[in-house]
Amino acid sequence: MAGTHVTSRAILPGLVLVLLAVTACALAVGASPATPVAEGLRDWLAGRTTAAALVMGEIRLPRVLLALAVGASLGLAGAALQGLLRNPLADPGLTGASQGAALGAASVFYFDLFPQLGVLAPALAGLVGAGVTLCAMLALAGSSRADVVILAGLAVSTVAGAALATVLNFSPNPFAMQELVFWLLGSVADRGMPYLALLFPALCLGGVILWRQRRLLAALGLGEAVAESMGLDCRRGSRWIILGAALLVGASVSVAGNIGFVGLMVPHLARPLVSNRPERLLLPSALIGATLVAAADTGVRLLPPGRELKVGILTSLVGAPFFIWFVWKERGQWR
Amino acid sequence: MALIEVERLSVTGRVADVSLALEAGEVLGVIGPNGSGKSSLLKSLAGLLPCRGQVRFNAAPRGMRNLAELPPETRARLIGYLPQSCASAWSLTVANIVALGRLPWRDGESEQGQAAIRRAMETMDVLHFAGRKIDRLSGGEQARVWLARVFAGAPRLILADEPVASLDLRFQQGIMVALRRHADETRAGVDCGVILALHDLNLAARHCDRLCLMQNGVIRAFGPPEAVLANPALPGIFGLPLRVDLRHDPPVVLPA
Repeated sequence: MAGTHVTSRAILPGLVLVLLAVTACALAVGASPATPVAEGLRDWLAGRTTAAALVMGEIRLPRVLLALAVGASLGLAGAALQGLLRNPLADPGLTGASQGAALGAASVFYFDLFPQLGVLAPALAGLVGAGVTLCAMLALAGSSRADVVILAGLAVSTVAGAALATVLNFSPNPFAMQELVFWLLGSVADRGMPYLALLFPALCLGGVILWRQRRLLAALGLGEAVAESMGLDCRRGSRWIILGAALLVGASVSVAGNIGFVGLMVPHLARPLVSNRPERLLLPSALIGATLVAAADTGVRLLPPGRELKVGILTSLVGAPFFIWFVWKERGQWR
Repeated sequence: MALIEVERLSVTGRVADVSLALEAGEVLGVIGPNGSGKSSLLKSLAGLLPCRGQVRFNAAPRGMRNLAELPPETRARLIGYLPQSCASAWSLTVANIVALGRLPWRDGESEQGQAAIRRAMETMDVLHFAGRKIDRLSGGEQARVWLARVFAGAPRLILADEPVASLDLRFQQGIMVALRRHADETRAGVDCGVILALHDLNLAARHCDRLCLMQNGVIRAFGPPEAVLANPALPGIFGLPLRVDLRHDPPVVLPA
């Protein structure tokens, strides 16, 4: 057991190093490649308005930070939900929060709601949409039983998805529809610091909520009866986990649209690093999620100029084969 | 002194008016056909099922001896529950599974917690495969790990729901001996006891100090194995003719 302790202690610093390396690369890549990263950041912090400071402070830094926060949120939410539902195929979207957020944001494009909020309107409406679907899901599920939660999430997602399709169908003008579709594809480009100001508190709050349920996540691996017999309140704890995960997913979909497969995939990458322990999965999943989305966004920016590939599409393109591989592996186990 | 006193315990639709007492140092076997309320009785004592009636747990600190008023975490430190079927959703190592038994104590990483985990693994003889994954073990090896998880929490009372179902003779013996040893800790000055649900009447006769025969949620007989197994109602309760050889020590029960 001493051996596993040493390796598990080395994992977090290792993941942080990778994250910092990817962040540095992400900051160095952009439309004007000659921009000096360190100098630009220094100038920006000092409040000087040099060209490098503008590129760093207004364009690259918000984009990279947003990518990191979105990735961390999705990774955390995925790890917690898979632990709660004891299902390695559980996706954070299962809470219905991502469809709800999409519907909320779409309504803004459609009805032109909250004009006084400007560019932040879709994001705020997304948060409201995620909150409403979450409440509907919890009311429908009634209990914390994993299978009922999955079914209720699916039902609420379906309703929100149908409403979203209706909104698209009756889109007032083709430009609004195009704007909405592009937004839904998932991107962290051209967002700026106000979006980060929306996502970052949600990431902190959701993270703290999930972090406090670590013991429940550990015990639930042996089933609800054992967890209850060990003095844990499964019903209450499950609700906190669903709330925390929905907050993270809702907030990240609200600011960046759908960035697929990250929440599903990241816990699988993190699990071997923590001997499959669900309570130790949270922090590594957040770090790997942040790294992956930042790396994917850097990849998108490295593609030849022209129409930019949305980062949500790239993560799905990479994630789908991974999912197929996972199903293949599971199938092999049952043969 | 009685470790636990149950008075008129009822679980709607499953258990009706059950009263019994477990003396410290005792292994009590709950027997009865499927659906007789054995599991529900154990679950309600573990605090998993809402129930009516009084349960006095005398190993609890003064002022908290009414089970219903015992805070869940304190209850979990004092009462260990082993469910009928155990499984881990994740492919954990044996050591990590046993360590989960320390959750109520919140000291899995500390020296004291580690010592308890190691002791539990030694008791159940699983230390030599502590690093192996649970899903790579045989059913008998797994059963020892599940019980080691309960032992790691060092509970005073162990509630075990059919701990030997589907085990071969050697593993059955290992589990029963370990539970007996737990009850025997009472002689070392710490009041301990075991209540277990069993289907195998011969095993019950051999390893239990007293038996509690249940049918349809009601206690039909309670007392030493010879007395309970000699009860003329026994064949009727199980729904088939039985031959009970009481000259044998322990008594032997066979279908006639």
